Amino acid sequence: MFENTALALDVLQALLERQKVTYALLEDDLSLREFGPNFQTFLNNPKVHFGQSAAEVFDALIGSEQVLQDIWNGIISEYRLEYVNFSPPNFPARYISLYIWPRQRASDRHFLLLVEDVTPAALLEQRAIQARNELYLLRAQLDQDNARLQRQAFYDALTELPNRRYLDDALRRYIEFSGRYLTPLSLMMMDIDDFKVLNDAFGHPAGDEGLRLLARVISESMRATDFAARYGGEEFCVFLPMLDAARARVFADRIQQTLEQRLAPFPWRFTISVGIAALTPGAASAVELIKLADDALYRAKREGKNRICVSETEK
Amino acid sequence: MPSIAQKKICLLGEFAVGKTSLARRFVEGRFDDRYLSTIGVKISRRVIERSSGNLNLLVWDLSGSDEFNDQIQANYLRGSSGALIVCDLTRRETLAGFQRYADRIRAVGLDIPLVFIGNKMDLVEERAISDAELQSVAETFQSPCLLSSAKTGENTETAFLRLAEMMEARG
Repeated sequence: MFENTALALDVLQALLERQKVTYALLEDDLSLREFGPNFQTFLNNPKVHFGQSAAEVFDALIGSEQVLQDIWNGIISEYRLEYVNFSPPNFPARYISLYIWPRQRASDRHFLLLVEDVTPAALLEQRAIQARNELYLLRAQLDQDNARLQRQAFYDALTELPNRRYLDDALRRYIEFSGRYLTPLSLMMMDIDDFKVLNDAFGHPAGDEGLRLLARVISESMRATDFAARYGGEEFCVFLPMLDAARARVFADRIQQTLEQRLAPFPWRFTISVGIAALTPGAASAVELIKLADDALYRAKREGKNRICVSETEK
Repeated sequence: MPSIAQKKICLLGEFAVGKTSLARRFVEGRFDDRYLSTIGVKISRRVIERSSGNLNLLVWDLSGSDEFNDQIQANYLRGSSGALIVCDLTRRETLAGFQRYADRIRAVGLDIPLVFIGNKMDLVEERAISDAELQSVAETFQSPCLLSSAKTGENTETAFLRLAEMMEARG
């Protein structure tokens, strides 16, 4: 109990007069047994009367009968609903908090309902939460934009394979790895034969579809550790770690065969030429490896296209 | 005047997934593009016609930000007959809210019908959660999952009515 009951009553009186709080006594069925002198003015509702259900006054109490039972049975100690929006339509925001405690006097039991106007605190908290949430959403949007920009910078939009920029960086790392651990690394360059003829005869949409199809075939044929990129135009590049040139050739064969099967439903056809080079002591840099694979590719073209050539240094 | 059955339903989900917009669309039939964080709870109501008679749905639009302790959060849920749990299809992290809020409902001892909603389906380009992912979570709880847009109104009504139907089936 308060040491100074008179003072506590004065404080309560002031709070009631200033419309900061109000109270009511509730029966088990939520009906209003009695209420504070400021109850009606607090609610801006002069029609509120004894015997009326508190659920008719506060939507938040609809269906709360079980809650009152739970309080009596000690399942919950009190019932608090914080920051209930109590604004009538087209009126400024008003928030209340509702607190219900059991109250027993001799054999008479009822509930004390305390209603507090918490509008200033709620609005303050609302602003803080709003600012925090907006900041979060802004950062999330920024992250998404960055990821998209990064993708645009390093991936080819048509085939969704890494682009030349990404390839240059990746090849350096693949070569470093192979050099350090003395493991094989093959580089395969492939080019669609007579791509211009395909474009001219069937239009650029067919050419684009052909590029996408080849990219899909390459991606589906790759192991998780392989790396493929669109090197430029109709030319693609694949790094095959842990594979020497002979095994890389088997891989290239498989791509050619799969491509042929996948082209079957289309009215147009194309073939690919492939050049393969492997990392050797004589070709230990990215530039040298690319040049060897490129030379092999051009040899495949010269020798009639639709074929796979392995760099001379491998023979 | 015959009395109308009243049922409390809760709208749950992480912040800014569109709970308030869904409630507004369902109750007032309109959409507002501004984002205003809900604090505490806003209760609105709409009477719907059912074959068994009219049903007054009390829609508890709860804050998606955890500004209160577990006890107060639990109090908001008490007395609910059903819940709509919402995620934002453009924000992957909001999918975790399905599990989080379903667990919270269970923790209060409620065994009520749930309907999962993937909101903002109109933002097709920004979509970050797949149908399969949504279905997988919904199947875990053996509850329906609908895609909706509070902005266009697509499936909003359907989601609330589906929940009402499930509540009715439970009696």
